[in-house]
Amino acid sequence: MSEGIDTRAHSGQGLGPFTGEEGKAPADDLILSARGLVKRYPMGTDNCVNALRGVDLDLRRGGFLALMGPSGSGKSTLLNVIGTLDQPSEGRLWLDGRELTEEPHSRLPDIRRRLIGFIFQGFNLIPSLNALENVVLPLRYEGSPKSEARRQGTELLEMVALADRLHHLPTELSGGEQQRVAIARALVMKPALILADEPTGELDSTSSRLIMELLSGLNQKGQSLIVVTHDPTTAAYAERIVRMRDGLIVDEEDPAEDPPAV
Amino acid sequence: MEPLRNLRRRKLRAALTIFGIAIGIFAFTVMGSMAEKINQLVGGALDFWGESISVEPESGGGFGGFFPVSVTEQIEALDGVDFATPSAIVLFGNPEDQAFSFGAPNLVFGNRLSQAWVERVQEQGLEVVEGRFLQPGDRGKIVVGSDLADKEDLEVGSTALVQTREFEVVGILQRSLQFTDAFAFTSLEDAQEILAEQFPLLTTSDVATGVQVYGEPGADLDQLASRIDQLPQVRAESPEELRSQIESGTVIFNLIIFGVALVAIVVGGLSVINTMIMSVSERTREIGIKRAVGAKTRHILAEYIGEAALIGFIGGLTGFAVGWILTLIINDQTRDTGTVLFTMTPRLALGALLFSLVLGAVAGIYPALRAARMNPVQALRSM
Repeated sequence: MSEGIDTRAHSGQGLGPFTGEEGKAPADDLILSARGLVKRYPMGTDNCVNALRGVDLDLRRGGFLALMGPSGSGKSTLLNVIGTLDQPSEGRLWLDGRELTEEPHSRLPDIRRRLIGFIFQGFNLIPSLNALENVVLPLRYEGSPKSEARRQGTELLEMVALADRLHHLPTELSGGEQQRVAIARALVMKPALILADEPTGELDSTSSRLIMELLSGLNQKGQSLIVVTHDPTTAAYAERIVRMRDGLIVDEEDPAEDPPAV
Repeated sequence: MEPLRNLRRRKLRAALTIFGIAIGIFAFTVMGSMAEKINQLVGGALDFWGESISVEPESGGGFGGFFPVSVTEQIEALDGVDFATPSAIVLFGNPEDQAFSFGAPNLVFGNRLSQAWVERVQEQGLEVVEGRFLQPGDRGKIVVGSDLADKEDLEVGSTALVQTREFEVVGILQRSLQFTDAFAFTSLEDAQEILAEQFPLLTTSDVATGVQVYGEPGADLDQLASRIDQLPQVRAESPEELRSQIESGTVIFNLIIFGVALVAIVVGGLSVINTMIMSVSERTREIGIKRAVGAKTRHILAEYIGEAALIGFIGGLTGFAVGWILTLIINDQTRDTGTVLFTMTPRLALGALLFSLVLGAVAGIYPALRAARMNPVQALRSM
């Protein structure tokens, strides 16, 4: 696979300077900082479910964190809140020095597009678009010139070894290939952070290994990553494993010191 | 092109919706080109008669009454009158045959062939494309409109049979797409002789069915008309009266067009809304993905409104094309009978296509808003 892409040079600068409160801003070496994140979902008129119950989490620049925990533990909710797809009920969140919880709702799509890359379990490619068109979708929303977008998209698909699949529709690609397209799409805006929700959940072991090696390679080049997974093998690629239960972080470990049971 | 590809994903549904719009725009095109023909005739009539005063016998003009030609001299004696031309109108064909004919009857206008009148009507657009126009002193000569010439197979030099009398065709009028295409012009005396044969009870042949009065430059024609109106036996119609009378006739056609457009809006619009709502429901997950990769509200709105507008435009283009072709075929079939029913104008073509585009886009607003307001997390969870 090509190594020509510098994944560290993310393009979120266009969003303006960091405006967090003095004295409370996270340290410069943190790409992500969450404090007291709470997420409540209303249930009927009087009740609510606490999906997150005060989560504190930091990720250093270039860090690779795996979020593990049983179903309903709040992993995906936390990922959605970090990814600005969902808003926390309480707490504060900084990404790349910017306090996201202070941003107006209308700015969130720009922030999401420029700072965050998503990889999903079900690949989530647009079925009517071919591989290249899927990859350049964020650039289209950014308003990038078509030729430049095509160039970048092609480069990324070459990087994930899909140079011969540029014009294939998702239905014409294997699961592993689709996930590689999704990775290329996540990288196309050179995001500050990639959020992957069960990226190997629908893949066989060979494809899973390929995908995790690809993500690990990106991380080694400086890309910050958070991966939600049930799979200890997938989690083993991370430098930190954070375990959640009932909306709280209950445990944290370094796989290098304490490898997860496979 | 993504919107086109999205339509192709649901071919049958898209085709049915497009068909719905096409029917509406087809009706709009056909009715519209008929109304355009009427508007053209009205416009032509106003050009032809709108700058003069039409005077009729008090008992009713055309075939409803006569007055002596001497009325013309009384009118010409009034201040502000440049000249007045008596005319006698007769049917080109047999009155019995005309009873069941479709469209406006072919009429022959017999006018006093003064030099002033000959010059004036040619200025107003009665130009010959073949042969010559009538001249003072002409008798037994006739100039025919192009549709009438086609219908009766007439050319310069041939003989035209008006009721029972034969006329030499001296000129064919240039096609104006107006009422004069179906008319013919001859001398007053010739028309009077036909009238005398047609109405044997007439005691004198020196009658007219109307007088056309032309004012001096700068004369107030409406005021002049009211003065003429005070003369015995006559009823004068001012240009303003004529205008409002003719234009009120077009209201009905405009109402028909409006009605057709309304049906197109309701049927086509509802069908686009229905299709797009289904499309939004089916593509909920896609909307979630697009939101996740940074699509803003306006991107989602533009996508769905664009798709709806495309449905509208394709339907509009189809309906317009079929409608236009049909009007061409019908015009071609009926041209021989001297009846041209439809006129396609650039404004109608542009109107039909723009209307379909806007109809689609407006119908797409509600489904697009539903799509744009979707919660991305819930959208991503949908199957």
